[in-house]
Amino acid sequence: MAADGRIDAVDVLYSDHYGWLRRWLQRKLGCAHEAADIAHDTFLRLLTHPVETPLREPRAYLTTIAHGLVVNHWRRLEIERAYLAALAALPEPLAPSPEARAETVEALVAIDAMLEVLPDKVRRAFLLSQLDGKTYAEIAAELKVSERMVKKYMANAMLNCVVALENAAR
Amino acid sequence: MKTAFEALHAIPAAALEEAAGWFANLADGTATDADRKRLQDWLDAHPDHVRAWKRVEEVTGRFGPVAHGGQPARAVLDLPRAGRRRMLKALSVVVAAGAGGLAALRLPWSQWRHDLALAHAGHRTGIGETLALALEDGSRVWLGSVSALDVSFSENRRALSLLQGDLLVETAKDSVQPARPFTVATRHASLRALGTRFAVRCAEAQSRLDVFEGAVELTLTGSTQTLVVRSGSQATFDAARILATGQADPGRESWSRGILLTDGMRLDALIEELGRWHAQAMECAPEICPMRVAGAFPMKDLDRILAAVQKSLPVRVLREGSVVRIVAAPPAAEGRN
Repeated sequence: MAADGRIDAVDVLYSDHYGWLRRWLQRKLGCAHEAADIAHDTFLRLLTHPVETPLREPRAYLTTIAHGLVVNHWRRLEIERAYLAALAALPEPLAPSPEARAETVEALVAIDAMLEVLPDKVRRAFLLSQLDGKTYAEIAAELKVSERMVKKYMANAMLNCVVALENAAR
Repeated sequence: MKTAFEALHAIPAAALEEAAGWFANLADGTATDADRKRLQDWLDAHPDHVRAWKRVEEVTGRFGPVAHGGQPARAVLDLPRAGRRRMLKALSVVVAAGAGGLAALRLPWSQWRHDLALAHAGHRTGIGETLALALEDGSRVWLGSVSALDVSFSENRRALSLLQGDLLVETAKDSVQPARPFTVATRHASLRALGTRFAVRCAEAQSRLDVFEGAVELTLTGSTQTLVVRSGSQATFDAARILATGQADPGRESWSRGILLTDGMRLDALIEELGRWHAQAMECAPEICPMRVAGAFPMKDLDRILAAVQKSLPVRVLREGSVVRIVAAPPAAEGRN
């Protein structure tokens, strides 16, 4: 019953450290609501990404996860704000529905996270191909590299993305 | 990169690498039938190849909504990353400053967040409007007059944010198992549904929660205090404390059916409530404010409600220019009735 054991372990962690983690986050964020959310997500992460051995420094571990989530939270806000600012420049009839907006922000956050670690040219090549539909010849001209290099960039970018996805899925 | 590979067990790294290579071969749009045939052969060679290729398709699938999002979406990804990093860094400094440094920043930051959120709320209603929404998990919510709501469902949560106004919630058993928590945030508290039907009002100074079925766990924004509000109860609160508790008011859900229920409501409270639903300036003379009104009225029919008030109480409803004024009925008029 490994699964039950894991939930038990997280239960213990939860009852021992949830309140502490929430206060820690609240000091960081200044908002009890966000602090509760992220504390909650931290424990969810523990449930979905179990650690094999008992934790020697549970609070250090929890704050590491929580800090990552806080950074993601801000990143999302920043992306959302940039997108809304860009939308504000559109004439009214072209403005997307709230659902479409939410979906776009969601996708932007996901793509941004996937491409974050890529070198600039690799990232640009990937976006030019996947979003703007450009051919390798066009991308090569724009980035002033060879077509063979563009193809390498594309493989490199995709490999990063699939590895990130695969890690996230585990 | 290396650590990512080392951590990888599920799909062999080699399969992912080859899949990425195949993607690069084909993404130029110049692939021939022979290329596609070779890809098919590679896919047929091993189930891991198919799984790896699925991941590739997952990645390309993520670009769909952004491509549809057009230029504004594209522009976000073109932002200079250094600038965005700086922004994140600046925020991190705020964090590092700790509790003392944060106190001074808290108000403007949260106010700014609130105003921005309000301007871009997913769902908004005007005066007198209600909006019924079916959420993707089967839950139903109703938005009352002059209200703003954001809905954010993800893998892990069902999160609503009531930015202002009235919300009635009827949660459904989550379509995803294990069930994701269902929460409603107002500027004063976070409410967590424990299987339930409840109404929330978010006003500037305070919020109010009425629970009609099940229970809701309430956590104040500005303190660690939590309270479980059970079926048949209500709580009124601001960010720092619970201001009042008592019986749930059925009138706090009847608006979703277009009904104004005034179970002994004070006249001034009724006028205030009507003011939320009708673009009509109304005043009530101070001496009659404590009078109580009981009844069920069609929310939209202001004339009928005012006529009923005049009929049931010793008051006069006067129309003076664009303002409706309710005053005590002169004794003579009362005698004539």
